[in-house]
Amino acid sequence: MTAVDPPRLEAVTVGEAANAILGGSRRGRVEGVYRGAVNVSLRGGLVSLVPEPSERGPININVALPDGRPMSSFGLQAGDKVRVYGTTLDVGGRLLVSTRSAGLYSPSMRFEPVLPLEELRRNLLAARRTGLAHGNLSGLGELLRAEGGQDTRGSLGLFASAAAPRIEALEESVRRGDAALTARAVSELTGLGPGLTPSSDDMLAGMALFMVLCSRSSHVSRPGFEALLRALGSGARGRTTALSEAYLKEASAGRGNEAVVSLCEALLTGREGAVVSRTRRLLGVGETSGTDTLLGVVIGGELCVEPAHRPGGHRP
Amino acid sequence: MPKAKPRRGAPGIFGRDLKVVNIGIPTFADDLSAQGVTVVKVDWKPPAGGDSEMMRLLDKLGT
Amino acid sequence: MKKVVIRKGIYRDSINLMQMSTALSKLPGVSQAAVVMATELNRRVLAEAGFAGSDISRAATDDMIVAVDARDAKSLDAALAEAEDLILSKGPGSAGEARLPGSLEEALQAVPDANMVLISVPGRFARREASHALSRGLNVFLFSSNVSLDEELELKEAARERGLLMMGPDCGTSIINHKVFGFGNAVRPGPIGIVSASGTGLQEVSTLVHKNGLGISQAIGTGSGDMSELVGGITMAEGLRRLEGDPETKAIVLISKPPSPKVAAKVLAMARDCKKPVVVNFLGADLTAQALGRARGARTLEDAARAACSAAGAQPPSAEAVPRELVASASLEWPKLAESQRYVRGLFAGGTLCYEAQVVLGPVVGDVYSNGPIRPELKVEGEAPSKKHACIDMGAEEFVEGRLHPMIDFALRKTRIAKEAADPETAVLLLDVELGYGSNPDPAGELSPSIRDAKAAAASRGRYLPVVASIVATEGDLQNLAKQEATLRDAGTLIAPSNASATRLAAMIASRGKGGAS
Repeated sequence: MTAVDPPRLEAVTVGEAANAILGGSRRGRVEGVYRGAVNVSLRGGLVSLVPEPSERGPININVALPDGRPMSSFGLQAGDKVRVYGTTLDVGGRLLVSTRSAGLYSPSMRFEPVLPLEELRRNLLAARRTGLAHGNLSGLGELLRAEGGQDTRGSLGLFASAAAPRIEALEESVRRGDAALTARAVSELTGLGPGLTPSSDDMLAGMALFMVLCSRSSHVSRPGFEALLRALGSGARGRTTALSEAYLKEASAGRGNEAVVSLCEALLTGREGAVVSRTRRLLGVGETSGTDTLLGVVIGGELCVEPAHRPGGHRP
Repeated sequence: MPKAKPRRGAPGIFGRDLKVVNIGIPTFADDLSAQGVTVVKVDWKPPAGGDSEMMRLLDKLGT
Repeated sequence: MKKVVIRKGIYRDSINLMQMSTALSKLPGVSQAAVVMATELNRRVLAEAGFAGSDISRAATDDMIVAVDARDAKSLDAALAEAEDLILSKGPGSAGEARLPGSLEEALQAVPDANMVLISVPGRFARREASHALSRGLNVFLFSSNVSLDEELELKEAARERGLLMMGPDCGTSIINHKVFGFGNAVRPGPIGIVSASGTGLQEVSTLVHKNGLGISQAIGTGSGDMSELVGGITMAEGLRRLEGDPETKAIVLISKPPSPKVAAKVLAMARDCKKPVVVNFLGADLTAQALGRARGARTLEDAARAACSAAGAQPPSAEAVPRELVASASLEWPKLAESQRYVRGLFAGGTLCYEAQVVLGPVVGDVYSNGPIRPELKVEGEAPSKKHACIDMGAEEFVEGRLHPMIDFALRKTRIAKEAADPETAVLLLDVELGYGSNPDPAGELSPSIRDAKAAAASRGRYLPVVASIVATEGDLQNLAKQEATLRDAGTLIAPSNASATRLAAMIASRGKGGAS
């Protein structure tokens, strides 16, 4: 064995969920190694080691990296064993991450004062428009078009075409507050679409997140929301990638990455200018992830601003 | 609070799944691929022209 | 036409996945392409859309699916080949075009968890590439030569600091995790580890271990300059340390030309202190006077292989200097020699084997001249006609300048064989033949005509020319060892099981049965 100490990185920020996971776990393994992330599954859940300038998020541990080194340059591979010693993560014996002096990312879940319904609707429309104009529509982004504008359905990609009716079914089941139907609809969307976090999962996460934040901030609630959140909280297991499963779980508890949370804040309490700029920020996340998440936020938002208990299928 | 300290020493490359970047003569990469190793070939060019020595090296190896 | 391909263990973020999809969709004849994770729903949707396949049902959620719909088989195949290329070679930012990465950085976009770089660029650019690779946390196999010892030292110190392996410069062979880098033979996995400053030395020992029935855990090439005074055996030491800690390795062989006393002392001390048995071959250096503890010295590569196998608990094969049946064959040859034929003429592709031959011949036949001599006063120019006993390294610079290496190109050796045949003083030709990765596809086919011609030329002058060879190979090498042996035998070659024993056989022939049995 060589007598070289593994490099030691300092975490700058630890997400709230990641913090809890570290506190409750001793052992784990590396799930995947990417240029921009090393994903580690621990007993308590999945955490994602990312470089400092990346998005802060509930499962992220943002580490200060020297001179632009990618996360993939530490010789790590999926399957490497991980150990937690107090505030230090030993990743495969090749990298140490210390969270001792990290700040906690734990954004507020209540935003006040919540705008009146009309302004909420205007904000949601502004977000939709911005998404269509600037988003990457190769995932589910095409579905941002207002109803009736989707006669291009035939030219949607395979996955967007498969997703569209399933999304409608989900919306309907949420409106009806039908728990079984909602659970079914969620499982028909989990894992669907391109991306390391499949497009439909991003959409579901955006939807859940907005709903939780909206209901906490405005005490608006719908029976369907709870069913949705419960379905997301546990229904993803095995149906999608480990990373996506983790995001969905967090979203169902109202925890999301900074870009999407701050957009939700702007939608609930802010002016159009803020909504547009924060939408654009979200659109820049990932490849289609940001746009797909936005679709979910907008759909969730519109379910929130609808009058309650409307039977039938048409959105206002 | 766990007592054990983080492990010292980088475990090295033995027993790892090899993933190789080949910079230079392509046949080395082909031989590795033939053994089932993941190899990426880099289409290397000298940083600022001047490749008489490359010609010599390539001649030497018949590629 | 629709087809899906499943790939496991490929880690790509969403950006890469999307760019691959886009690139494939734009190919001629492709109506639809998707690169997605193999979640249950994705598999179902694809299957419902007609992308069927038995693989698809066996795929796991974290696998990658490449699905292509093309108008005909040709476009489909082209698209799938392109997908393979994209997975291995494409980085973000070059959408729509298949293009090999032009730099290490780009390659790392495509394979972020790369852990080794194989560098064979011209010497003056080599240090820079190797240094960059090390800074990116990658182990390095540096085939390039013409890198200064100062640069080598700098690279090896940087590697050591980061816990990385720096193999080379001028490293021709390594076997890491049972995969051959550079030149090398197909040897089975097993308990013998090797660290070698010599490429053909590593090949000889690894193939002999294989022939003894055992196998190789790891064989680390250090490059020819590692054991120099300046570099001080950094990679040799590093390799030994790692093998000591490697569960697969039970015994270790160290190979190098005789180093300076200082470097020798350092390495021998490490060998002595090693927890596992170490066999040290400093190519003929006499180590009996050294206090080696459990470690031991071996004078020939053959001895080293045997000693290592024995230390690993295997029953070594009989230690005949030269197999009986070969002695018998040879004894039919030397009576046919003419009076004038007195000398051994060795023509080698492997520099280390040339050196070892001199080490073995010396005590038996006296002075042996060489362009890579074991003593300076025995040096001759490689291209000069041979005088007395001679072992010529045909892979030395003066021969290889502007040409292929003699493991691949036999032209110069063939010319030289003819010259030796024409010399009335040549008693026996001694040759080494290397099979395996990197070598000529048919060495026996190249050499046999020359051997036949040489024997015929000698016969036409009333002489008989014996030819002895050893083949550095295993039955797993792609050139087909059995056929190569048969071809050489048909041309009248005596084939010995190792370079050392071939050399002893040649000595025996030249001395008409008196010498060579030691």
